Amino acid sequence: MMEININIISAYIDGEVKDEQVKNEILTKIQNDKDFEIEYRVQSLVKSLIKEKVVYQQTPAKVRAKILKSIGSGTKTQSEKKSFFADLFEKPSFSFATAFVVILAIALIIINRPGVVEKKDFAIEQLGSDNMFVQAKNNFNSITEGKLVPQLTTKNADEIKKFFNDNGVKYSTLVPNISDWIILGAVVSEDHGEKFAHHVYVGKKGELAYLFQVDESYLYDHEIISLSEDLIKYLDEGNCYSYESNGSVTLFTKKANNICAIVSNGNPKEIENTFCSL
Amino acid sequence: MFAFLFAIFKSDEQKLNEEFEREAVPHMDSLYNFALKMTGDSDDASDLIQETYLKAFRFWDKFEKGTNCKAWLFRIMKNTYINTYRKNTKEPDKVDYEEIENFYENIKPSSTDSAHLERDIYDNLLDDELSGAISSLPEDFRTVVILCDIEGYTYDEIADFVDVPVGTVRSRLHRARKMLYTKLHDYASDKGYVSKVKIKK
Repeated sequence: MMEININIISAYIDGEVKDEQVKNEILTKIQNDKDFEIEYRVQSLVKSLIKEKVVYQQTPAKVRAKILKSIGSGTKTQSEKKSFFADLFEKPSFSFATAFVVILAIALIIINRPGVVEKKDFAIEQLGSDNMFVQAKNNFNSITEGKLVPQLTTKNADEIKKFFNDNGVKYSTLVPNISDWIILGAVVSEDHGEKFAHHVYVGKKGELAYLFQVDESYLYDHEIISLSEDLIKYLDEGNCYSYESNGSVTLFTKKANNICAIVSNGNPKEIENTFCSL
Repeated sequence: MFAFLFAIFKSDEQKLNEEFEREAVPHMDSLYNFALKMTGDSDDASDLIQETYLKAFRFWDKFEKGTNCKAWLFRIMKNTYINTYRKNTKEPDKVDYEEIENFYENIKPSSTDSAHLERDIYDNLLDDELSGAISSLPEDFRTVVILCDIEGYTYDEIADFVDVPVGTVRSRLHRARKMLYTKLHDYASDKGYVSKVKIKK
């Protein structure tokens, strides 16, 4: 029997030992040698944990779109330029003066354009049952009316994250511990086979704050859940949007790749200060 | 004449673009996950994958058709990572492996019945914690773990990718998993699932 180094255990686990005789010898060692057996179990445990627990993340939709746009522009630039400016100057009917007037007109239009509104009332753009804003408000109303109860009741943020993980939420979730707020519990909802994460906090005065988070790629796809593009752009720029109505405040903010909706019946200013800076 | 040359040039360029989209773009998620584990930060990962794809697109005519496109992209990403990100971060590359080995020998269960190896103990482990443990490995070890256990590469492919002999891949993987086990053990003892171990010096 050849001398077998314990390091070969990893290769054995990875299916990299092809020789049947060597495989049998390793197996015999694992069965009869305690060190080999423990090493085998340690290596197998770690490998299986990585395989099962590490969430395979999709490229964020915004990044994917940027890359595809950059790649596309590499080939399109020349033809696009030719079709407009090049053609314009090549046509004999257009003199240099005509082109100058066209450029001047474009410049005047740009200069006289009304100023870009930094924060507009995004709430009026949010329509339809698949809209995240609408869903967040409806879910919050259902919670306060007792129609929607947590599937998991716990104060522990790790347990909530595990609950999201175990119940098929495919994106990384954010469950922060917030001073003066206690976590109440969580719900995983399902829409067209996709799972979404929701959790609820209770404040010192008994006020509720409901947090609904979605990976931004779902909102770019527009297939299951939507949000107006203006609002997504506003959040992308690092802003936090706040809207008050009927005694509740709704916030939208972006953390890492997640768009978070927070609805609360607490003091709007306090809610904004607390949840906009999660 | 010029129009004819322009048409030829354009069709070649279009062909290259189509080839790139067909061969390179499908590997984007794989590369993003690699970037995420290497940088440990979603913004850095996004920047890294964008740089990688732009470089790959620029040098697409240098890619040898019929060879492994994914490995080629990984190599570009690794070089970009080394040139751009690693020099900006404090890389914990210099590890005292002897110390890790010592710790490992102390926490390694003395009996196969030991609770330390029970799968249930680690059931509460979250993606973030495991990803954090992987990200904290020295780069050489982190790379082989990601490529083998997450991406599913063979040892030959990893050896080709990181440019080391297969034996080195095997020993790095073996050591990397031992390091990860010590980190997971730490996690389990912090949560009170296993007793804390005092290191014998």
